[in-house]
Amino acid sequence: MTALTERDKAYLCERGYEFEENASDGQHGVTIKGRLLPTDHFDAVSADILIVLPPLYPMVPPDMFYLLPWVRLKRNNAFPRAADQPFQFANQKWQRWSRHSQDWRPGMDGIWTMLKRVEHALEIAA
Amino acid sequence: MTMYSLTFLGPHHFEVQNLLFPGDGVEHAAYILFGNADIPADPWTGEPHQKYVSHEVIPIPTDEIVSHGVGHITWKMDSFVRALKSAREKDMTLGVIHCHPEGYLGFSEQDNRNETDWSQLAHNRNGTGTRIISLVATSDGGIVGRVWESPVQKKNIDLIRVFGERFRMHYGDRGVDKVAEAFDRQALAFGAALNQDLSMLRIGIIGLGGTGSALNMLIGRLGPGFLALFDADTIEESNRNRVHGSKPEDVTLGLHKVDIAERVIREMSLGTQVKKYPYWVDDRRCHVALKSCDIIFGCTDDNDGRIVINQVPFHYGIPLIDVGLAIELTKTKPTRMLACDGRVTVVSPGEVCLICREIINVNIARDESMKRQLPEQYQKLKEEAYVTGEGNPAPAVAFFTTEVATMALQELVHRLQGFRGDEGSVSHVVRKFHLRTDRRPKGVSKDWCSVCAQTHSWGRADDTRFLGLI
Repeated sequence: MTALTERDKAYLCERGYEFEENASDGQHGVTIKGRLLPTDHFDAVSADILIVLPPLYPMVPPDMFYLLPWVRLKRNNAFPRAADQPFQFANQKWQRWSRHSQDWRPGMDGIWTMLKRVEHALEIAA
Repeated sequence: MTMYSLTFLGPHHFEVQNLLFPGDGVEHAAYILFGNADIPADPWTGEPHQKYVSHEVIPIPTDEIVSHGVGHITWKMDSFVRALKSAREKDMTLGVIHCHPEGYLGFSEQDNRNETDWSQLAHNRNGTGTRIISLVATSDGGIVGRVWESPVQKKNIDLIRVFGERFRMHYGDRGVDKVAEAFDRQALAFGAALNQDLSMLRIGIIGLGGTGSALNMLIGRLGPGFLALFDADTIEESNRNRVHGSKPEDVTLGLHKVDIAERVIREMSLGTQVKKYPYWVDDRRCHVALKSCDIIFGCTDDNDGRIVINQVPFHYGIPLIDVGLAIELTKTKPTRMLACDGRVTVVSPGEVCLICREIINVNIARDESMKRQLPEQYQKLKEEAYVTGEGNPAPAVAFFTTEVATMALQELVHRLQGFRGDEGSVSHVVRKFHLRTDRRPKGVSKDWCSVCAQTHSWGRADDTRFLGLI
């Protein structure tokens, strides 16, 4: 069964995201493929972004996000803050970015909300 | 034989009444799209049950009405074809309702002829097997209906529910059944029709702890026809001071709380058929039983269960009467009670949902759900302090939980029978036990809320995702 809502899928398709849905150990996830990272910020140009969709989504929010390959900050070759732990999903070790938000409006928020949060987290990564 | 039933959501019924009875004393009509709730085998009778839930009211454009008077209405079929198209696109069932202002609660020969043609048109346009619903309403609130399975086959709708500020039940011979002797005194207070209504009702109780077990014990003595009990928890020694009907050996035997509640109903022997579901309410083994209910009581103390049951009134037209008890103590010793609040909230289309009332915290709901479904991951995140909402056990006392259960049942009985009078329905009440007073804070639906503020899921009923959730 697809975990993304019809609105989520319509949003991703309209915006030209390349994505795939996966399940791993009872969890649903959506992988956004080959997203360009902020210029000159990381030691990689692009990465896949994994967002795990929890049970009861979209009434409850996803938490955190994950990157593959793992990226380091270009300026000091260090992992960004709270982004140095692995997360096993679909036979791969993803780089966990522990970013959390308490704000979620069921009905208004969806995958677009998470993607904006991911973009913001990557922009300000330190 | 398939049972047919139909639910009008309160706001849809209000809209229909305004369209059908504008005060001119002539016939009017409207279309209604109904969501389908397909129950292959009713949990209590084993018979198939097809429920319809109102999703959208579609007025007939005035320029398509050819003529109408006290005893007739004729309109062009263009809007009927458009409504059929919409029903097909949404995978719903089209209904047509018209009024008999002179008060005849039934279908005329002319109605039979017209509806045969509509059914044929529906089969031609949307395919054989397409059902349509026809309804007749009278100005005194009467309503009857039937389902056209084909142009030559129609079945009466056995039960029509109108769930607004009051819960109205329409079925044949309402109020004429003899009251069982055990309920004589209750019938003296509330009339015979209440007992008959209750005997028709399929009632779900989600959570059979302190409040749920009290509610179960009390509702059993009201005489409902059918009860469904949902709770995955087993009884523990620390529950026994408030779980009605529990015995010391229940803990040793590791009984589920639903086992105890079922035993309580069985031992009453007052005619209630009871089914138990020792699962969390989001478990797919609960889905059919949940949508088979007419009314549900939310007695769970968790957020993830509430997220699920908060959706049910809107998707399936099954009102939720949700209860809770919150005791706040001082953080320093000696502890002192700062507040003791018992709450009863009615959730239904037209009312404010539990998210907008901030009774549900969606972040805690996510973490609670993870704890049940992915315990290892939950434990890891807990060690890293990434989960919210876990704390010490909440204080609870049997006479508070039992009083909250009583309040909830009084609300049910009023909505069915009306003993409090015209303005007696209360959507949300908080009993401040420590202040000996009741408060009724008004709630407001948040405009972004997809549950109670937006109407696209109302009456959606069966969908590819149960209640729109993963």
